Amino acid sequence: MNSGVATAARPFADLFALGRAAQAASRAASGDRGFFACSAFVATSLPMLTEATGRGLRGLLRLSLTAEETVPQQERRLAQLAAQVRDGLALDGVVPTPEDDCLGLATLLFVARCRLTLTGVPHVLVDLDRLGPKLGQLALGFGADELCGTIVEKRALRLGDNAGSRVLTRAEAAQLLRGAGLRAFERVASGGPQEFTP
Amino acid sequence: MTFGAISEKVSAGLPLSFDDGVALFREPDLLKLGALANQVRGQRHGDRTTFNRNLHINPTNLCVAGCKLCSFSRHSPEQPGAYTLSLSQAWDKLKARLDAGDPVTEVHVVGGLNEALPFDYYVELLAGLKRLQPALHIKAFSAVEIFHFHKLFQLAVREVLQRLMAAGLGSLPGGGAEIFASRVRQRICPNKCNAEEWLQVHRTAHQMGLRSNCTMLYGTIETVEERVDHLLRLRALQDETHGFQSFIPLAFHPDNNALAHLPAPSAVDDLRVCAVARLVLHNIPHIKAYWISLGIKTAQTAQWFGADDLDGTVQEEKIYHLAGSETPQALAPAEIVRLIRAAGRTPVERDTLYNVVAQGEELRAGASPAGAQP
Repeated sequence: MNSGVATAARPFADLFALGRAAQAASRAASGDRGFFACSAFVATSLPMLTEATGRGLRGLLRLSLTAEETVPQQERRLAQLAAQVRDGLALDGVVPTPEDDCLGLATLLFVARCRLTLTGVPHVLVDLDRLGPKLGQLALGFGADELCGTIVEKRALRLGDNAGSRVLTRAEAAQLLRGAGLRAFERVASGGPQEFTP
Repeated sequence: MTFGAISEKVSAGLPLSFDDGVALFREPDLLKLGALANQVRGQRHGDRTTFNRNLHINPTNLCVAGCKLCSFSRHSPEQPGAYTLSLSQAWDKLKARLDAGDPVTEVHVVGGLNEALPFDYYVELLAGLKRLQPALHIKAFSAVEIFHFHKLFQLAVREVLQRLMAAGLGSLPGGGAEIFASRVRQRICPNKCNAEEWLQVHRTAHQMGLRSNCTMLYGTIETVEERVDHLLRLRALQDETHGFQSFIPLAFHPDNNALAHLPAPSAVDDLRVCAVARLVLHNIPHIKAYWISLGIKTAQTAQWFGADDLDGTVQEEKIYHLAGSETPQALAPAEIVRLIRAAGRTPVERDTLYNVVAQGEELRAGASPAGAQP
């Protein structure tokens, strides 16, 4: 692992060290900027990624995480992907995506490992639809620097049928980023990311 | 005060000041704060995280308090969703668990401030639960409810507690504290007992030999200073009575209540409150990550941010679920054990008073009793 932080023996013994190293790597890549996008195409396989980037779309790849996968297996998988990026695979960001049976800490540590191993990949994204806003925000402290998922301009109050809605507004997404100590930038259809001011 | 200086005070076992508490809440580096809280948690509890097998019974949601923060209460029996359990309906909830072979050790009873029920209802409710399972620990009625009984039935708080203890009351839950600052209370729960009254109920209970828990509801309109003031008032009472067992941070849930325009507290805030509580409340033994309030994933993470307890299997929690909690209404013991082990901690089943019920192989063998599935 690039950070030199040993994680295989006791995955949680160095939780804070791993988190801190991943956060530092994220800051080195993006500074104090955190991003969000109201829409993003995320490929679920390498062929799909290649086709997407060939059509001019941003290169984003979903990396699933299952409860069964061991830390050494994760690290091998990420190391292989890192090698492909070094060999020229166009990848602007990865989206670590836990399956339903994955727990919170395992997800955060996987996010951190993505950031630390995939040094050639500029962004680690949080899928708010899968992680939810709470775990998603914590992931911003473990190496993620961008939010994606269902982000809307306006939504109804969480009353009646809308109670329990996970949908975030743009302002709420920006607030999540700020709550994690980042300046909020929105990726817009044309041009570069723009700082979001409510 | 710098973080380093606060850290030195913590290492020396010195109580933190108001200014220290405020500085910790404002510390931007959550991981640094978490590491310090985790160090203190480890010194007290090693790698253990505790839980228990409990059942929640909410006997009525009819309530005269009208708190803006609440999604559970109804003001009149005609309102949709209003209910009051008959005694046999309440007892049947426990009976169903016992009949299924679940070795539940605790029943947690809290409900609305219902002016139509006689005091005998509450006494007989507890007595009937005890008849079903004499070894059961009954943790019942928040200080707000005890104070309501005192006012409504014209009984001294001590007498209310004596009668309930005679019927089987074993300890008090910590709910209803919300935030002690009167500025906040007047806006979110103006008809509840005030801070001094809440604390006095717990003081009286402790003097009578009862143990209790304490809570803080965060994420509405309180300031950081009001949070620290709340924690220090709890700490002061604990210095006096030593009766609190556990502090439970309660995250505000905005769904279906009069504060639905407010955002829910963020996970960073959840973990920050947990960590600061561990550091400020040096005299309260346990910090509980109540998974119903925090969500399962944040609660699991909180074990690294000062928490040493995950509450229990629960079953039938209504109050948070009506406010939008997305957690299941119960967790099987095996699932709680998994949450703990997967965080690198050692699970220990406890009773309400934190005596060990099962651990190690004993716990492994009994982790999946029939009838305890969500």
